[in-house]
Order: sequence, then structure tokens, then C-alpha cells
Amino acid sequence: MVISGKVKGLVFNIQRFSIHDGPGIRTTVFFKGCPLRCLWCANPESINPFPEIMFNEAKCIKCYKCINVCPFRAIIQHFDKVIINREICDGCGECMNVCYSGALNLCGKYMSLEEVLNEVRRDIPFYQASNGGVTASGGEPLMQHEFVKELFKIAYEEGISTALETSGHAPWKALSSVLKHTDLILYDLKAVDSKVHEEMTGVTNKLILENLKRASLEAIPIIIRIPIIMGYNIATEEDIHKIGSFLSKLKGIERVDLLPYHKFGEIKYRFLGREYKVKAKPLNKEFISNLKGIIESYGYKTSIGGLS
Amino acid sequence: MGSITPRIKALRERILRTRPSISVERAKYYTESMSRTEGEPVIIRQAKALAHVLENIPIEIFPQELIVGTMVSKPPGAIVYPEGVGLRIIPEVDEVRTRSVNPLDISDEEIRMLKEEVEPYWSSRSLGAYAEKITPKKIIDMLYGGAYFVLTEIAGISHVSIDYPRLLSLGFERIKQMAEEKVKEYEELKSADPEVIDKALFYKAAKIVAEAAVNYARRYARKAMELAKDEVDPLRKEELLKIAEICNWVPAKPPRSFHEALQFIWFTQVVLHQENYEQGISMGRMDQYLYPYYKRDVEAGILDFEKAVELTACLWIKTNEIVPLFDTMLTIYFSGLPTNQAVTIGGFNEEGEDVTNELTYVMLEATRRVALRQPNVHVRLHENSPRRLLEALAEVIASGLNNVAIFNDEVISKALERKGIPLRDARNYSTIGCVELAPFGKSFTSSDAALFNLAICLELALNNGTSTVLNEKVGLETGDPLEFKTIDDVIEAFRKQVSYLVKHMIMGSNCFEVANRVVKPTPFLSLCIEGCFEVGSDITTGSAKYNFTGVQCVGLADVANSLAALDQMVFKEKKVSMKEMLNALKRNFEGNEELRQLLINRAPKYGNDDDSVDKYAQLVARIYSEEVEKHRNVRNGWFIPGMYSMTTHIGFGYFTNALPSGRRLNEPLSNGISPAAGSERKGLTASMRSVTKIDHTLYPNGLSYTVNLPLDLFRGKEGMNNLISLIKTYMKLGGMHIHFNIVNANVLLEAQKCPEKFRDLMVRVAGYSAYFVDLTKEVQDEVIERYLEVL
Ligand code: SF4
Ligand code: SF4
Repeated sequence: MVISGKVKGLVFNIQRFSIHDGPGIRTTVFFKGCPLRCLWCANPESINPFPEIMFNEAKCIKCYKCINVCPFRAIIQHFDKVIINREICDGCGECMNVCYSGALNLCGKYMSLEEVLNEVRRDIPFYQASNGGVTASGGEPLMQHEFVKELFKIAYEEGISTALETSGHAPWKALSSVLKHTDLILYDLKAVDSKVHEEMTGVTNKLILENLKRASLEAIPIIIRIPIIMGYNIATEEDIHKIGSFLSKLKGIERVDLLPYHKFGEIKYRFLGREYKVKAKPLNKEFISNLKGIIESYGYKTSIGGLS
Repeated sequence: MGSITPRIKALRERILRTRPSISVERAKYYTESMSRTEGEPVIIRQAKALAHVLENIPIEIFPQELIVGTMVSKPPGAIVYPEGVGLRIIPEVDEVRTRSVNPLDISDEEIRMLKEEVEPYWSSRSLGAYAEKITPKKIIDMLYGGAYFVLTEIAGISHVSIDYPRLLSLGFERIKQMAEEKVKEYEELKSADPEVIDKALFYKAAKIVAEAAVNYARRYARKAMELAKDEVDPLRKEELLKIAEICNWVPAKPPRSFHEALQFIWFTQVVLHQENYEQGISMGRMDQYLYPYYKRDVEAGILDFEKAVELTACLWIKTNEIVPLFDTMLTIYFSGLPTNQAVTIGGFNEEGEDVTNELTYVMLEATRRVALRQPNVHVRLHENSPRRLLEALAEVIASGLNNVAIFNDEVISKALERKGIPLRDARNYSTIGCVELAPFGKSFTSSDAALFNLAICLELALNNGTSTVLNEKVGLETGDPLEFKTIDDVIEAFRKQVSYLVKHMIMGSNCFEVANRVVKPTPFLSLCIEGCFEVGSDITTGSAKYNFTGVQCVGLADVANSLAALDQMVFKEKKVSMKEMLNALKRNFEGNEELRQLLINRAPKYGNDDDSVDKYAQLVARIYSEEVEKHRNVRNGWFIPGMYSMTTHIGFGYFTNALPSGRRLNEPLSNGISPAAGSERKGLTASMRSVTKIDHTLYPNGLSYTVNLPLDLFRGKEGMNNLISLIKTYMKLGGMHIHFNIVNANVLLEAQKCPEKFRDLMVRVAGYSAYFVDLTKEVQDEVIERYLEVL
């Protein structure tokens, strides 16, 4: 996004003390907007490439100030409840400004490079001690590859290590431009079966697999991240075998992380006025460690949850 | 790593499974002797009373023990100190037996004895009775109000770290001889200086108590012999014979082995606890002064790492035999049954060279295996601490153990130097109690003398000196708050209130120290700290080499957050008028939740690396430190500031009205230097940055930073490395103390429901560890809340 000549990034969260998004202690910048529609998405607020209002009803103190300030009359009172008409809301954030309780929050903020960097720089001493750094995540950070490229370039020059977490669903040009200043790639892989992939995420995996092959030739370590959602992307052990055998043809892969499905995102669907549809089978430890064993049988170091 | 031996398992289980009781024997014999010696010099009376106690209290050697000597008749238990605050339990005794938190057993006969034989004697002779006679009434009223400060010295002083290197090198027989020589010189009129009269009394008392300690140990020697006679198990028989030999030898003479050294220390701890109340009697740099014994034994082939761990574990378990006797009020302010016997390990020496040794690891390993509340194990770290130590430490922390804390050598030695302590002594500091600091073995710093409510000073500043909860004008008239034009006016008024209330606290503390000097000299303790014997005067007179009095502030984050909120909302953005703010505060935000939400969510909060509020935390920390350091104590030393709260932040919270931070009446204040509960929104690194913006060297008495983290954050090798990096970075940023509370919130909730299943679950409350099930519901809730936040 370009605003008055300068690239701005649409960021929905900057998380300090991240320890699951790459090595060491890191700051993760979450970019808003994603071309995939994974059914189980744990960050539903990351999907749309524009600011959105989130409403946490439990915090609402029923002052009804939001109703009067909304320039689009998108908020109404129904009995004592506050209801947002999402069709009308344009994400201007006016309501949030008067909502002292924090019930209304605008998710997504256009930030300048300098603003993001200033936050990132604050934990430099922790990165130094732990071999940590900055991670760009999302959403899909490559939807904002120009911003990420600039961010990584400056971070790189300042000695801050960089990691890119991506779905890989982006033009190779976008990916390769960012990789110039990337120290580590966290590459999400949901399925190698194209049909399964399309059903689960709304897009085929052609681009994703292609990009992964090309990226693996770049001499940048890659960690593959596989979400495990039983009955969705993984139905049987066979599905993991498929991934394993695909990976076995690649170089540069440092580790495979299995990320067991969790429900932490569920509440955010409610905040966004959306429905949460996933009904994944609960995972048992044994099954997960079987999957781990399978990936390991293809010669990869494998972890559950992302810490070695 | 090895695992827990059957012996340690059994000893540990006994402590955990036995319901604590009140032990009345010490009170009985102490009172018996004191009432017989009326009219004699007080220091002699105290010496005789201690000797009488040691001759008569029941002695017990439990199965499998290698280190012997019980603090109480049926451990774990509480000693009654009737000269202090021990008798406060009497009116509540029925409740004490049945209360949900920290119940203690006591028989009707024992109660009768306390009521009829002990209480009548002390009601007019206790420290409190004397203190009340000499302390200005306003201070006594303020103290009993519970809102402004807590003064602990009404119970006694304790809080020392014992000069074990010297005691071990001499033995109490030698000390007794030295005292005798001094008395002889006096009798032979070697000097006619006027001071020698008092000194002679001191040495006479010294002789009595040194002898009493030796005789006490010999009672155990005889007991062990008796038991050995009837013992059928040949292995145990051999152990008992060895115990008998050891108890004959120590603490009379310098120990000949590591085992003897530990037994020497334990007997000394027991005797100290019979004389001084059970708070913060600490063992100092154990891995340093015990290393020669360890090394010699290992070289002689009679000791190895595992055996040393087991012996150390035996001692560690013994420290859990005593619990404090707190009434309902004290339980609120000091929840969790802490006795805070600290052990200091690791760190650098007087030259600044690392002296971590094999025994450091022995002690960490013993701590991990014993996994009980006591002792407080304090690990000293500095820039050149070995990686192995960091790893061993991280492993202990990640195992979920909560009685281990970390201290930063560079920062602490600087803080002590700032108080005029020569560099070598500053570097050789040890820890006392939960987080306090002093040059090892040479200091009497009454490090837990008082705890001070900073937040209520802001309330007074906003109400022209009146407490709106207690409805009393205790503070200064600092002007009508409606006339305040800028935040600087508020700060000025706040500073004046702090200054004024600190003066009251200091005066109270000094009066109480005078009471201790007059009513309760402590001749045995005086043998255990460098300086007193040489000077020839009781430790309460200021004869130790270093004499400070430590007083801690509570509520730093609340004040910082409140100043930031006032500055932004009232003065800068004018979102709310001072009048509306004050009204809302007086009504505890009733009818104005909107304002409270504004304050909570829109004003910056300390703990998020935000300079606009962190600058107020810096300022408030400086104000308190400066005000405290203006004052001298009665032992010819200075008052020094600390920043920790035990659980007084909860007690003070009941009396501190709503604050501009958005905190309501009755909610706990913030704890130590930690951010307020619920206000850390940017993660641990941001919190650490905020905390270290404050100059920690302003707090030479020590401060506490407690960090609650979910256990699974530090899984695996990478997790461990991250934990080490966090510690190292925090230290590099200037952090003095840190303690990780690693538990799982679900476990805590479960423990709240079925306490019996979680007897040994430990959490860190404010700088000390407590069994979660021993905490009051309020404290439990707070721990849980803090915990949920970081998930
Ligand atoms: S402004 Fe916020 S708190 Fe007030 S009614 Fe609207 S959502 Fe609720
Ligand atoms: S974000 Fe803007 S348009 Fe949407 S509800 Fe709030 S005020 Fe109305």
C-alpha cells in the first residue's frame, strides 16, 4: 500500500517475546491480508487485506457512545446489546476511539517502516543474546512484499536476523525479492495433494510447491511447518507420507515442525461476527508422535510445536 | 542426573504428610527462666533463658536422618515467641486449629498452659508492651491501622546471614574459652575503663550461651547412643553411632568433615531459632565456606557428588521443620508460611573472580531433588558465570521449582558500594531472607524492618492529607488538589507525603529497635556476626561491622500508572476534570465505569516499555529511595530502601482507595518492582525493559521482580537457551534480582479445587516461595490471574 509516496504496511500485531516463530527470542510482525482461506485459520483477523473492527462483547460496558459516532450508522442497539452491521461498516475506527472499555478494536493499522522498525529495535539486546531477530508473518506477508523487502533490508543492515513465515502462495518475483535479506524461511505446507489443498485452503498448491522447490535452491535454511488438523488436511498417515516423500527431494530443509491444531482462534471468529466451522477430531499424542516418526523416516529432524 | 534416594524421599514425605502444630515448649521454658531471673542484668537473663530452653526442649532423632536436631517437638511446627508476637494467636486459637489456610494443631492443655503460665508474664513485658510505652501514639495507631506501613521488629529482628566461616573455624568451645578469658581479665581488673563493666556482662552471657549450644548437641549425642543400642538394623546402628560421634564433636569443635560441617550449621540454626524468631536467619555463601570440607573429603575418598547431594538434601529438609506462627492479620500480610532461611551460592569473590565450584552444583541438585519450600536458594550470577551453571540453573527453573532466585553480582556490589561499603565486602555479599542483601557475615541490617505503602501517599496527596477509606487526616496538608495545575504539582505533593510518612515509619522502626535493645538482647546471635564479640557488646547495640535498617516500598507500579494517567487524562488531554476524577476515586468508580475503562485501557501502563509511564516509575523509585536514605537508625547506621512486598500488597490494598490507574479499592497493589497485575500487554521482554529503566542500585536492601511463565514455554534445548538468554539480557540491562514462577494456570485452578492433591505445589508469591495450598484464597486468585495473563 502506498500512501503519500511512502510504502506503508498494514500490520495487525507486533508481538514481542515470540519464541515459536524461529530461533531465539524474536519480534513477530503480523501482516494483514492473505490469499488463502484455510478452513481452520487460527488468525481469522489476518485474512482480509483491510482494517476491520473486532467486537468483544464481554468487555462492552453498554455506554452506547459508539452508536452515535459511527458515520455510516453501522452500529445499532438491539435491546441492550450492541450489534455491528458488517456490510455497512467500512473500518474507519471512529467507534473504537470512543470505546474506552476496549470492546471495539480496529484490527489492522497502516504503519510506516520507521514505526515498525522502532518497535523491532527495542529488543535488540534479547536477539543478540538468543540469536533471535525479527519474523514477518501474517496473513501472508508476501502480499506486502515491497514493505517486507524494505523492512528486512534495513534489519539486515542493522544486524537484526530476519525470518519469513510464508504460505508460499505468491509470485516467485515477490518471494525472491524478500529472500535477498532473509536468514530463515518458515514455509507452511498444508498438503501436497492439489485437490485436498484446494478444498482446504481455496487455492491450488501449484505455486506453493513450485516456489518451495526454487526457494530450496537459495542456500537459506528452511523450516517446514505442517499444521495437523485431523480430518482436514491430514486424514491418515498416508497424507504425511506424501508430504515426506515430496520433501525428500528437496535440499536446504533444516527441520520440519508439526503444529497440532488448537482452538485458540475460535473466539476471534466471534469478535469478527463470523462463524467457526471447523470440527476437527481431537488429536492424540500417540498419533502425533507417529506422524513425527514418519517425517523422521524421510531423514528430517522433526519437532512438535516448533521447539527443538 | 541422579534421582532422589529412598532416604530423602522418606524424610521429605514426613514433612509433607505431617499436619503442622504449635510447639509450646520453647515458650514454656523461656518464660520459666525469665520469671526466675527478674532483677538480674537483662543480657544475662536472656542467656540463662536460652540455656534453660536448650537443656529442656524435647529432642528427637527421626528414622533415616543423617542431620539431626529438631526446631520443634513435632515437626513441622511453629515456635511460640511470647516476647514478640507469638501470643497473638491465643484469642484466635480455636480458629487456628480449624482455619482453612495454614491450620495448626495445639492441644487444650497446651493452650491452657500458654494462657495461664506464659501470657500473664509477658502481657506487660513483651517487646510490644515496651515499644508501646516509648513510641509516639500516632505511630502505634498508624501501625495497627494496617494501611500505611508494617513494622516487623515488634516480633524481634532476626534477618541476618550468619558468619559461618568464622564459627566453623573456631567452634563454640573455643568461643566459650575466649569469653572466659575476657571475664577473667575483668575480674582481675586488667582495665579500669568504664566500658568494661557492660562488656564483662556481654562476655558472661556469651560464655553461657556458647556452653549451652555445646551441651545441647551433646544431648543429641547421648540420644543417638541410646537409639543405637536398641537398633536392630546394623546399617542404621552404624549411622547412629556416627551421629553420636559427630554431635559430641560439633558445634563444640571445628568440623573435620563435610558431614560434620553441615551438622554444625544445623545445630547453630536450631539454637538461633530458639533465641530469635523464625524469619530470615540465613546461611550465607554455603558453597564457598563448605568447599574446603567437600574437597578434602572427596580427595580422601570418603565423599562423592551423590553422597554430598544426599547430605545437603538432609539439611535442606530440616529447614522445612519450622513454620511461622501467624495470626489472621499477619497471614494476610505474609501469606504462605515463609521462614526464609536463605542459602547463597555461586557468584564472584572479593576480587571479582568467579568462584562457582562443584558444591554449587551439589546444592542446586539437592534443591531440585528435595523440591520443598525451604531453603530459599539464591544463585549469584555475573558476566563470567560459567555456562554450566546457567544450564544447571535453567534446568532447575524449568523443572517447575519455585524456590530458586537469581541475583546479579555486578549490580548488587555497586548498590552496596554506593552505601559506603568497601568494594571487597560489597562483592562478598550474601542474601538474607527472600531478596535482601548485605556483606556476608558482618552485617546486622534488620533487612525486613518495615514495609511501606507508597500508593496511599498518592491518595493522601490527592486528598490534602486525608485517607478516604479510614477517614482520618494522617498526612500533611499539601494543598487543595483542585488547584493543581500540572502533574508536577501532584508529584510535589506526593513527595511531601512520602517524606512525611517515611519519617513516621522510621521513627517507629527506631523505637522498636530500642525496645529490642532494652528488652531482648540476643547474646547467641551476637556470637554469630563479625564485630560483636570484638566490640564486646550485644548485636542490638550496633556492634556488628555493618548496621543498616532495611525498609521496603510497595505499590511502585500503581503510583507510576496513576501519575501517567493523571498527566494524560486530566492535565494534557483534559478528557476528565480533576474534580470528576477525585469524585470517582472517592466512590471507588461506582457509577463511573466508563472513566475507569478509559484509565485502564487508554492510559499507558508501566511494564510495556513505554517511556511516557516508565519515567514516572523511575521518578517514584528515586523519591522513595532518597527519602529513606536521609535517616539514621539507632545502631549508628543508616536506613536503606528495598522494594518487595511479601504479601503486604494485598493487605495494603484493603485500605488504599481507588487510584487513577483504574485500580479499585480492595484490589491488591503491585508487588515489588513488577508491573501491576493485568497490565503487561507486550510480553516479557517489554516488561524487563521497563523494569530495568529503574536504577536498581537505588535499592541496596534488595528488590524483587517476579515473572510468571507457563512451563511449556521453555521446552527442549532451544527453550532452555531462550531462558538463559532472558536471564543474561535482563542482567545486562541492570536487573538486580529475578525469579521465574513457572507453573500452569490449569494446575493452579485444579489445586484450588482439590488442595489435598497438590500439597507440594510451589509458587513464588513476591520474592519467596510458598505452597500454593497454604495461600489465602485472595492470594491464590492473584497468582492465577497473573498466570492466565501470560498464556
Ligand atoms: S462504545 Fe464500546 S463499551 Fe460503549 S457500547 Fe459501544 S462497544 Fe460497548
Ligand atoms: S469502524 Fe467505522 S464504520 Fe465500522 S462500525 Fe466503527 S465507526 Fe462504524
